[in-house]
Amino acid sequence: MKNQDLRYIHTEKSDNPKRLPELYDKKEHCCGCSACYSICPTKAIVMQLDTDGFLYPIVNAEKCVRCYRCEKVCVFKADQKKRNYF
Amino acid sequence: MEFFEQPEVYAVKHKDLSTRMESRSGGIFSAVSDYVLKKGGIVYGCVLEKDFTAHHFRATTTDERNRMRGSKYIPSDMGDMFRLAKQDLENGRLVLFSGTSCQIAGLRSFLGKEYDNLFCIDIVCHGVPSLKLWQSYLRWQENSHKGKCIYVDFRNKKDFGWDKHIETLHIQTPSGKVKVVNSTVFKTIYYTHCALRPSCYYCPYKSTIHPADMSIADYWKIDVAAPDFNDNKGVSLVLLNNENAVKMFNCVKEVTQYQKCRLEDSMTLPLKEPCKKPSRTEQFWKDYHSLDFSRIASKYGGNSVKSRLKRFLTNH
Repeated sequence: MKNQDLRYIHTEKSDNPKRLPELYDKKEHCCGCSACYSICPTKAIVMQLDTDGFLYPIVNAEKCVRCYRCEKVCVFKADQKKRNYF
Repeated sequence: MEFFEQPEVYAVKHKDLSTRMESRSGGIFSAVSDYVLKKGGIVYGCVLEKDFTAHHFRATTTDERNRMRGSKYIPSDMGDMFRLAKQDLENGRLVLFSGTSCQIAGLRSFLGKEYDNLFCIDIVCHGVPSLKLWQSYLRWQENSHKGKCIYVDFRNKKDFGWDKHIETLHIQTPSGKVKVVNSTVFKTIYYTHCALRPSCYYCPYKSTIHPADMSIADYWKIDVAAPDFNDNKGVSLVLLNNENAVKMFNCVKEVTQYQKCRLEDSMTLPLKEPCKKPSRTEQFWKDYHSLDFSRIASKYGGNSVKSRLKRFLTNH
């Protein structure tokens, strides 16, 4: 992934030992619908344009409480799996 | 809510011609949203902002809703609309939420439960192109015409008819003169499918099964499905995906002319499968990031000297 296309910010400021949520590994997995952004209880997710001009979620590691509601709400990846795209 | 195995299909034209001309297709969105607003409900949908980006917006009046009509060939920023819609639903307001299929699927998942007062419409979409590409195109047109863009119609139906795809920009020069620029460069790049969001090539909603109650589109197969219905002023393809949609359609159909059609006569690519990722996609992005936009317009937008000459000769 290109350097500018961040998935996390402020990882250095977080001492939470739990893993950070993984919203997508490849860009093909994220449709940018903003469900993860909307459900986050601590507003730890921002939607930001990547270098090609598409919105993707970025997780602020310092604000993230590791509740993983953002992972669970992602229906796009689940529906891609149902269609056997991955 | 049980979804039908296959949707019920209608060709629809709003009876009011001015409504239809203000709409992308046949005006079904106007018919449904008029009904929702009349019931004191709230309409969520995509609007074009003054800076020619697209955002989702919450409308409670007809004037606000009118901004949602017409197609925008760019992605919409959802902002906080999912949260606002949830509040409205919890407060018992009737809510119409419109968007792409992935946005509707996302909204439903975010809500986490069914609401009787929610009605969703999705557009049968080909895929969304890059916002930055659109902005580069705008700057290029502004520089070429030495002015500032003050108006955009992504698909000028009024001047060229429903079936044509010509984008119209109004560019105001420093002297105050407004130039009308009709172009096919952006739509040509769009239809190369090189500049779509990566996930659109793997869209799970490219089928006749949609996450919204009602799915709407341009009725491109109208001459097969209902040949006498086409007047080139726009016909909506309307898919009723569940009983909710049948009920809604019964409430609004009196303001429209409609005809029941067969699904098999109405099939276009986005109702079957996603756009294939073109083999030159990587090259496109490499070019986009390194070349001047005039070179992109020429290589991918049909704006080379050769293709311009060819168009000139065909038109004269």
